[in-house]
Amino acid sequence: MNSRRNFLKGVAATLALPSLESFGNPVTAAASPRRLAFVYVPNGVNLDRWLPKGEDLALTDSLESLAGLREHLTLLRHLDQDKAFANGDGPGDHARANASFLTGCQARKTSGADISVGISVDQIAARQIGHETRLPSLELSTDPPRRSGNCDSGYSCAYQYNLSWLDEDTPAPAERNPRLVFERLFGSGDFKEDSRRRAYRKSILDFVREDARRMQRRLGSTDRGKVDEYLTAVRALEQRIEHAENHPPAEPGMAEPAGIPSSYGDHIQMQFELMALAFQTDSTRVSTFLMAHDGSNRVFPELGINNGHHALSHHRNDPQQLEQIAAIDRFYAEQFAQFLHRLKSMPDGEGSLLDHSMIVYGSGIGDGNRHNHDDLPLLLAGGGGGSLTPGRIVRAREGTPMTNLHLALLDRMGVSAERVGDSTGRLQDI
Amino acid sequence: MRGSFFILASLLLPAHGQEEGLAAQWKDHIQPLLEENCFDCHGDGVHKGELSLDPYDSIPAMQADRDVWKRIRSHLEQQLMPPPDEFQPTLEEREQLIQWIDAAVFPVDPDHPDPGRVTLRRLNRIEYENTLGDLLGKRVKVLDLLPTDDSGYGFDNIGDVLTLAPAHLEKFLEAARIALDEVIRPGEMPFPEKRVSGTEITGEGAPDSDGHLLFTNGSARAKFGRMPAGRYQLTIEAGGSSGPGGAPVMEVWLADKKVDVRTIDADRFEPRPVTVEVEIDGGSDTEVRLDFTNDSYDDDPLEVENKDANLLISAVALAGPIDGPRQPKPKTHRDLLDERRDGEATEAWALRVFKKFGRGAFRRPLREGEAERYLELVRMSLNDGLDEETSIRYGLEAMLVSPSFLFREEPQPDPGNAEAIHPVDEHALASRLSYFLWSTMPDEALMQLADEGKLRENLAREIDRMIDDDRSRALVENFGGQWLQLRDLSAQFPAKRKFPNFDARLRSDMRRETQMLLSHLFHENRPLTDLLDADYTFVNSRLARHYGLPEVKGRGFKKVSLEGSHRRGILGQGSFHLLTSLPLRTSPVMRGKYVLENLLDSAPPPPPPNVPQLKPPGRHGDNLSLREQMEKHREDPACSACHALMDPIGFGLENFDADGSWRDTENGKPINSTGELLGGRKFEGADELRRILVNEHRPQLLRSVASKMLTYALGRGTDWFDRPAIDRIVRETEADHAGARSMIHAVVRSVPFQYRRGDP
Repeated sequence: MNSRRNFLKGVAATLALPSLESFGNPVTAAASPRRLAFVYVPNGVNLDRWLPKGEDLALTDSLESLAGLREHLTLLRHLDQDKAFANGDGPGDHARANASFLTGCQARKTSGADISVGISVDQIAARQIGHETRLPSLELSTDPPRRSGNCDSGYSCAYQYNLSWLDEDTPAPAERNPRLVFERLFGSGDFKEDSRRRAYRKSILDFVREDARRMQRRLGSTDRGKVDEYLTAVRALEQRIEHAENHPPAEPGMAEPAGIPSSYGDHIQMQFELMALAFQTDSTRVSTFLMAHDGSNRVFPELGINNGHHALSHHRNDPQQLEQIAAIDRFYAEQFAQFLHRLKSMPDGEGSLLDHSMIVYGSGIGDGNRHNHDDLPLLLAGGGGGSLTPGRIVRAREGTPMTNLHLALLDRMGVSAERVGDSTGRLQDI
Repeated sequence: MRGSFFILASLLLPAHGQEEGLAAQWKDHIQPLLEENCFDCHGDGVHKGELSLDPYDSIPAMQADRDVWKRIRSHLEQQLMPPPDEFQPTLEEREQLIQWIDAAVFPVDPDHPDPGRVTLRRLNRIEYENTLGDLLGKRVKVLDLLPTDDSGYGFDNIGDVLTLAPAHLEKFLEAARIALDEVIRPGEMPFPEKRVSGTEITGEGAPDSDGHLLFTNGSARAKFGRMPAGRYQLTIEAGGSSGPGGAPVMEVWLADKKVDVRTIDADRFEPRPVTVEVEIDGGSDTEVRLDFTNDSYDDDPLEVENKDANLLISAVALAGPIDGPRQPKPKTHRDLLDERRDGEATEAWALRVFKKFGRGAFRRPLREGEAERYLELVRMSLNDGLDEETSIRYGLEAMLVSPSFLFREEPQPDPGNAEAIHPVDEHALASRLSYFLWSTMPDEALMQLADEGKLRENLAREIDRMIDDDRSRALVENFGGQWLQLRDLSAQFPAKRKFPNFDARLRSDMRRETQMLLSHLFHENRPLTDLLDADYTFVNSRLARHYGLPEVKGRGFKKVSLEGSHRRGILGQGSFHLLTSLPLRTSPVMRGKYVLENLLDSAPPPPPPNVPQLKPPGRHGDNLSLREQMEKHREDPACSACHALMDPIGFGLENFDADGSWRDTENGKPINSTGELLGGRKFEGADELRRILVNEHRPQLLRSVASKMLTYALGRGTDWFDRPAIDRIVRETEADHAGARSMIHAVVRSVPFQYRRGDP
């Protein structure tokens, strides 16, 4: 596994760098920016093995790998995604769980026409603070490419495979190839060529904008909407190019990954590493990571599990299936723990990157067998630049929308928003 | 049957009379039927399953909620409601209800059909890569660069779902750059070159894996044959190792004349070029002789690396004549940029290029002034001091990210008027055809016809030509791959511990088999019923062995007879068995669902939440067979209605194991492959089940293929107002012995394929 080797070498190289502050944007000690990320785990968890038993934040069993990070973690109880419930729309809990997780909106039930959910919390942040960094946000995934187009119960696949939504009808597709993520973050390495290419692109974009406007005049209303999407993309890219000019790429401190690692764990780790580097170099402050879409039926031969995750999650309280689900939960938690350790090891201003981060980790389904979307299994990692008090369990009032957490995190990012989806206020005392 | 007659008679009434008739029927007949059968749970204030029929007291109220009535209709049709443990209406009464709902809530006028609207479609990534390849005359791999497309209605070419986020546009820019880099070669080309590789070198010494090795003094010869007279650049790629006498010395001889002497410092494993300019008279065959002249060797060297001098020649090349013309630009470059004509101004040249390229890229002739506008970019780039070819390329790059390339525009007069229905114009029709059958842009023949306005009148001939063309593989791969879910096969793998002999090659053989069957149906216009009962299939020796068919000789796939085999049609194919199994066991439910959904046009509703999966049988505790477990599971009335549809089909196919092999027993017990279809039709085994499906469900099969094919062809979901179109496709196909190719013709002829409605 050549790419893995390069990658590890790269990690070592990063660690050996004398001072990262000398690269890219200087990060002043006084005010390290806060970073916000959301990491999605599909299909719920074996709650019995996942949740701490007592009042204290005891990280055992499925979350054992996180025990050493206890002082950086908050476990959240009683946060719901009400919009993931049917609310009259019938089956389709997986599509809704995925679609509502960051939007707090009820996905319109359609297989294609009139897709609509809502802007996601990360994109609300990206819109307001995205211009301060090279990339407004970074969307990652380790889901395999989709195949046939049959998704959950009459919902378009767009709902089930995207966490981030630019607006109510446009998902922000996530990148699964670490090499392409790397290039987005750090350019091709040829600064002159990159800058020439940017200038080139800017005039092309400027030019095709006019094409699009002319085309719009010839179209009916729905089609005009499609071209609007195009125009929005043109504008966003132009801004991105400008940001890139104002924020030259940081030194990556790692070799360019060769592509997609064959092992799922390695793939996840590489994406996490890129997210960490993106935060460390202040290339972006907002990121999402769909480890697998809800309803994912991935098998885990590395854990000796031949049944699909989704199939297992309908466990009917079968002890053997519950055991296998716990093993998968443990696997995902271990991946997350490695990432947090990495953030902790990265100095950032006064403290570590983890101190300045707010990483939400969890699933839009509680128990896969019940398909419930209340009291979701959620962790919040990081210190939020002193604005969070981790190391405990935060019990919200029963029935609190998860979006209240989103809103509270947006506050801490310096993003002003009145609400996110179905939020009713800001989650207090986190 | 009184009711049916009464409904049919009423449909013949004139329009306004029909409305009154329907209202009267509602009061006299339909409403009482609903009250009797449905209101216990869904009326008079009760709204189980969140459905109340109370608000629907008039036909307009029902039409305002067509989605609800679609569900009501399909639940009635599939006999899911009333639940099996409740009092049931007669089949005639069900039929009356459905007919009334169709006539009242979903009225269609076959004389004035609504073609619906297709939302402006972005090219999906497969179409993008194919189109780019056709445009540039060279396939460039950009698929993996582009974000995966979302899908809807089972397909990834649906206009409404193909969104365009900044990430897409960024990748389109990137893909255009990469593709043009591969095709356009700006600047001067090298001179023609002839190369003799190391292994082609003769003479003393010996061939070596890296070239030709002279290990003692001697001559190596590179024979070039007859070369035109002139000055040439001679390049020798050489390396070597040093002996006690130093690095190897190489003398270069041409026609008995020593033209150069070089000491070769490059390492034997990293040869470097040595160049010298030479004169060739062209009078006889040209031979370059390379002499190694200073061999030295030491048995007991002080320095290990200076033990033995050797000379390695890895290649010899002659480029020229350098006083003659350079190599022509690559064909793809010339096709794209053409040659500049004598005395032609740069802008005139660029304009020619843009007009030709734009017609292909935009799949229509360019509008007035459209190509001229792209000259702006050429001027800008020339001003920046870039060369002319690069500047023209700049315009091409912009065309490849223009919305006219990325979207398939279908111009129509009066686009904002929902009442206005127009035939799609000929160029849009050409694109509809080519993306349907080939997943790429129209070829020159289609464009020509569209230019002349003669595509519509030659439609039948063109469709046949296109199906016969190799590019129609895309229809099998993309339509078939999604409709029959063959694309999902790569995620299926029977568990090693139960099926140790299964391997990935077998799996791809299975996909190939189904693709070949489908391709055969289209090419030979075989009846679509062959999908279920073809008495032939396509296998190679490996698959034949796996299936227990007579031995197939040779490497490739062969068409073989299925006489005496249970494997007729898709239900006997491994691709289907794999797709509808879990790693350790078959899934009769998934098999039934697949058949209903993909082959019988009656997708069962999704399961309610909280339903557990079955565990593999016999693991611990009860030793029930899978079938017994499922029958127990079906005792629950919440489950039984749907499972009564799905499970029997799956039970009938239980002899096909999760790896597609045949089995007679499960856990030591004989397989019970009996079943009872809805309506009490009993059968035993795959053969009988298949016969029932073919003989009694033929209309559903045709309807199913028709609606899937229409969805794929249009790039939008079908809706109630498409019913006349689908009816007609089925009718026309049926009239032509249900041929698969005939159905393609019928789809293309259909109103929604030929027309567009405006959009308010």
